[in-house]
Amino acid sequence: MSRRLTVFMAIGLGATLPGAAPALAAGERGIALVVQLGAGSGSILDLCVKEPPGTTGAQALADGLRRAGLAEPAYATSGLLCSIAGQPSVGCGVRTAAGYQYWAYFHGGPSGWTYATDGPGTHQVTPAVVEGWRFEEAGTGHPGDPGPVVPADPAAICDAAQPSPPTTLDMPSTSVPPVERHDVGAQPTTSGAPVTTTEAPRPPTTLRRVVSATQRLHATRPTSPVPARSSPAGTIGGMAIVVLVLGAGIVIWRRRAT
Amino acid sequence: MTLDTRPHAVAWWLWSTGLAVAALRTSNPLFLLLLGAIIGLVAVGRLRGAEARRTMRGFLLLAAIVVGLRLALQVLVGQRLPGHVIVGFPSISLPTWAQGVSLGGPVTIESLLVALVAGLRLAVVLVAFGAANALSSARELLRSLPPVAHEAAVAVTVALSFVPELFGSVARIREARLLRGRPSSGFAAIRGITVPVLEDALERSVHLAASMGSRGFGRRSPTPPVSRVVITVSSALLGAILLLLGGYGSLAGSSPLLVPLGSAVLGVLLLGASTLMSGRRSVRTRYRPAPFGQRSLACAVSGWVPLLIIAVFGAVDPAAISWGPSPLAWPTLPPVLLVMTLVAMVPLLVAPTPPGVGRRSRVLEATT
Amino acid sequence: MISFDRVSFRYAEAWILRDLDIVVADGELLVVVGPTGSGKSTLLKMVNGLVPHFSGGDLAGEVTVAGRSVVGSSPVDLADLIGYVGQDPRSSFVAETVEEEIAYGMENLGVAPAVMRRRVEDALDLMSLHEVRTRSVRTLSGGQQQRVAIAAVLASAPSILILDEPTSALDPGAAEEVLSSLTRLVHDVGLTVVIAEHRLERVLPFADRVLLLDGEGGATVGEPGRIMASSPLAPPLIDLGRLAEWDPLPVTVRQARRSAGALSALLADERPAPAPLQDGRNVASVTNLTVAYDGLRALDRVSLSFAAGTVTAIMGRNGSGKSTLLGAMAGLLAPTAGAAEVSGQAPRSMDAKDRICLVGLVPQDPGALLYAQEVGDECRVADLEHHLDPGTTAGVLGNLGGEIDPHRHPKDLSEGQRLTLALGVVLAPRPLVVLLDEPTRGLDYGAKRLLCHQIRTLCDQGAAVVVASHDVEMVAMVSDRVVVLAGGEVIADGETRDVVCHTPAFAPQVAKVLSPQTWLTVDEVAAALGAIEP
Repeated sequence: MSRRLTVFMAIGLGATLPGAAPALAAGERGIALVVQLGAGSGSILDLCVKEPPGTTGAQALADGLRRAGLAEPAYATSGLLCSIAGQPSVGCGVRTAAGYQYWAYFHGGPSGWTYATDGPGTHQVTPAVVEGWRFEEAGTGHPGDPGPVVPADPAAICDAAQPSPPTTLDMPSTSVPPVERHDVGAQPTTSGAPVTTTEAPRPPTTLRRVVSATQRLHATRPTSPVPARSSPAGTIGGMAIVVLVLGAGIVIWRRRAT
Repeated sequence: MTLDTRPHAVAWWLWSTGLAVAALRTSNPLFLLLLGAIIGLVAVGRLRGAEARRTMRGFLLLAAIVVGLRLALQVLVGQRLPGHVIVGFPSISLPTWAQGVSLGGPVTIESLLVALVAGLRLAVVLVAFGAANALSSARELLRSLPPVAHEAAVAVTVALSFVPELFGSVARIREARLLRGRPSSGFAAIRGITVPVLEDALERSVHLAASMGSRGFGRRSPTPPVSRVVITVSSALLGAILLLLGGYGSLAGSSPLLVPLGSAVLGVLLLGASTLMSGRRSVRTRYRPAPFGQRSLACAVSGWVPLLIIAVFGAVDPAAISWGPSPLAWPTLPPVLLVMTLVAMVPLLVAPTPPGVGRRSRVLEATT
Repeated sequence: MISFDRVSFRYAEAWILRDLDIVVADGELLVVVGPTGSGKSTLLKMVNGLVPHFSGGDLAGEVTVAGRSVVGSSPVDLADLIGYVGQDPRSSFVAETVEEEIAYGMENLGVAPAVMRRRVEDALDLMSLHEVRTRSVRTLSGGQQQRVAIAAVLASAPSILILDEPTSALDPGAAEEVLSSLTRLVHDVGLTVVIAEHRLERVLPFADRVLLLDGEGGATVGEPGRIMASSPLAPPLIDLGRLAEWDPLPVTVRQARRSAGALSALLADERPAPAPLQDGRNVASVTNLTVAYDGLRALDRVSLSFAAGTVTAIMGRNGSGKSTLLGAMAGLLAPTAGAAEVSGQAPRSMDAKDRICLVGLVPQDPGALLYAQEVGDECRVADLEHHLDPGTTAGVLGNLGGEIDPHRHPKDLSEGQRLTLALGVVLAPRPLVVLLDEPTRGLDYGAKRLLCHQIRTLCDQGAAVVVASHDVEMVAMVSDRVVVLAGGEVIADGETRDVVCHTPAFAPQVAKVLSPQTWLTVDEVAAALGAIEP
């Protein structure tokens, strides 16, 4: 049975927390996100983030996941979204006998869910359209794949008046069956796997996180473009060798030209 | 004398093909840079002649243009990879029929890096091809082909010399137009130049055919039975097709490696068989065929060492040499790999230094 | 060795050769002579099989070479027996380097590698090509290319060698060398050689027999002296012999000198008519001109000036910078240092349309200047482009002579007619300076005489004419002044008589025969003799 959980983030219309968490930034509006991590017994995440105009769907998703304390989305070099919240832990757009296993992107409105034709990197979010994400188990990669099973109702998701109960998040127990590593998009396999911290195959576990709903959360842009994940020492060493070799080449070219 | 110690043309092409294949199967920008630098160093160090230098320069320029173009395209219409934004262009929405293309939109470091890696990959392949061309011209390669491909090789050789002749012809006609006081550039000039150049080319090709015929091109021993000819030619064709498909399959990497590799091996066997069969038919001999000795072997093999390392690491520890745009990380290579890739510089030791370079050869020249 | 048995040939309706009955003996050097368009090249190609297998046409009769029928075999089959060198060696190159080009024929014939190496070395020796053996054939000069083509054919050790104008691109010294090597092969190895040549003065001394084509399809063959006695085409030596009524007619300078004693004595007190005083102003000059490209200095600090109404000949070995000098004066090449100027202006910086009214250049291949489909169209277009009155170019062409049918395609014209047409097109805007680059290539004696006449007419009209040429006889006939270039520098500059008569390489035949007297042409001698006769 599916447990439907909703995580509400405080809109911050009236300051309930003392101290000066800044009020709504100019032009920010609430964007609704629905993430369905798996069919059947999967969990559905409803997120609502405050974003200024011009935010892309990918940015909204990343902000939402970050605020929920979940792993940010990882992309392959072709632009394909590989994993959300660490799910799936291995493979990216893996092809099985039944079809592709990949994250599909939808836009939801009063008429239901439509398969998105532009990528999350370019689509600009609006309050009236719900950003939908569903992990397809046996998809075709075409607009026929099914959308999230919940209705697309931005008002319901981003309802500011509702107090937010303490929430738990149930991670689905799906694990990707080990299949041949063939990526969609003909990427070399060494680069297609998103870097996550879990290893394969994963035994069924549940991950419980509690998020306080009274936290005032604002979506902000990350300011530092410099990745701080790994140290540049290795790169510097390698570049030193490259520069040495290049330099030798240039010196020889100059000498030969005279 | 240097003719005999130079690596064989085929060795140079094998060396550069190995490095090009290694470049195609990696996504690590540091590795690509290292490969490119190695190819450049070996080529620059062992080029002979002004024409080879020109070829190399041309290919280096082309590679730089490719990288620049790829980056520019990424900024303008490329796939928007989400990540750390550096420039936020406004996104221009296109009508539904052009939905596959994204115009504008925020430019992220990840997307630029992905474009850079893709461009670098192609650039390294181009530089490898240019190096092979410059170090041993395509003509030398064609001369080394087995007799079954002799006539095709001659056709390609003639075509190769046709292009510079064409340029020479165009230059001559343009000069003649100047002498007549006519414009030598612009649209009106094109027609005026094209027709004489084509006439020139036609005459030249007729003369060439006559001269080659007079010198015995195409002589054959008494023709063997038709069935044998058919078998030879068809097995050569089939072998070439299998090799092509197998090569493509193993490079594209989307199907299991066994099938394309098997097809490639089968193709090579068929080609070898047809070569043996046809070799007995033709009466041609070869003047001073370059020997494929130890130096050539060392040169050829050294080019495939980086690919071997990639394969080994790919099986054992793929994360060590792979690099992806998200999450963003500094590209690194294990030191072992760095050092072993430098093995690809073996041709610097194996190939003789070109004349006029280095103090030692000047001393020799002074005493002769 | 070669036998033509009642051979007739035509391409279209007109028979080029009719009922030819010739036998060429083994080990003979045969020279084929005839006016342009008389079928010399066709005859040569018939030995090889290129006619009719490559060129088409109707061949009647039987051509047999060493017992093999040519009509029945193809050129490929005869390649082991016959070596053919065409008129344009550049377009016959297959390989990259000189060595490979020489070995190419042997590779096709399946010669053993050891034998190939030996023969390549012999061929390089014979044609003096050692310094260029590893160079690309495309980078060689015209003369070197011609030598490579001959070496390549010799290396296959054929029994018969066919050469179509082999010395056209060679300067006199190189031509002499090549022909001596061939003669030595004929004497030592018994090679049969058939040469077609316009410049008889170079070839006649080596010929065993001469075949004369009369241009109507007929042919006569015989001893050089006998044939030349009645031939309309004859080198100056023969003309001199006919004038002085020597019998037998000498074919070599040495023979002529033996008979020339009386003539020399007769002319001892005569002097050639002095050239009319040239006091025209300088219309063109080069000052400290240096042109360098590809690391090569083609011209090195050359300073010359050219006066109106004079004909200056630029002579020198292949690659000495003659064409470069003309190119710089015509504005095609930019000077690396120094200046070239025509009538006070630098041709390089002028607009092309203005430039052609000052300086006109006829390049080595005059056909490159011609675009139209018909001669008449060419003239009309030239009038339009140069803003001349309609009919000017056709008029100039008519004055030049040559009787060119206005409805013919320029490519169908003979060499001489094509040169005349190009000359007409270049002369229509009446340029002050006229430059000619190797104009006598492919011209027979009649056309050469016509060209000299045209040049002199130009001079009388006040133009300055500069001719770059190897052709010693033409230079002797037409030029007032000779400049000799070597290695891009001027090594001699003076009146024709002074420069040419004392240099064996550039001396005309008449001068060599009557040396130490300085007579340049048969016409001068004739005039002097006419003055003596009371």
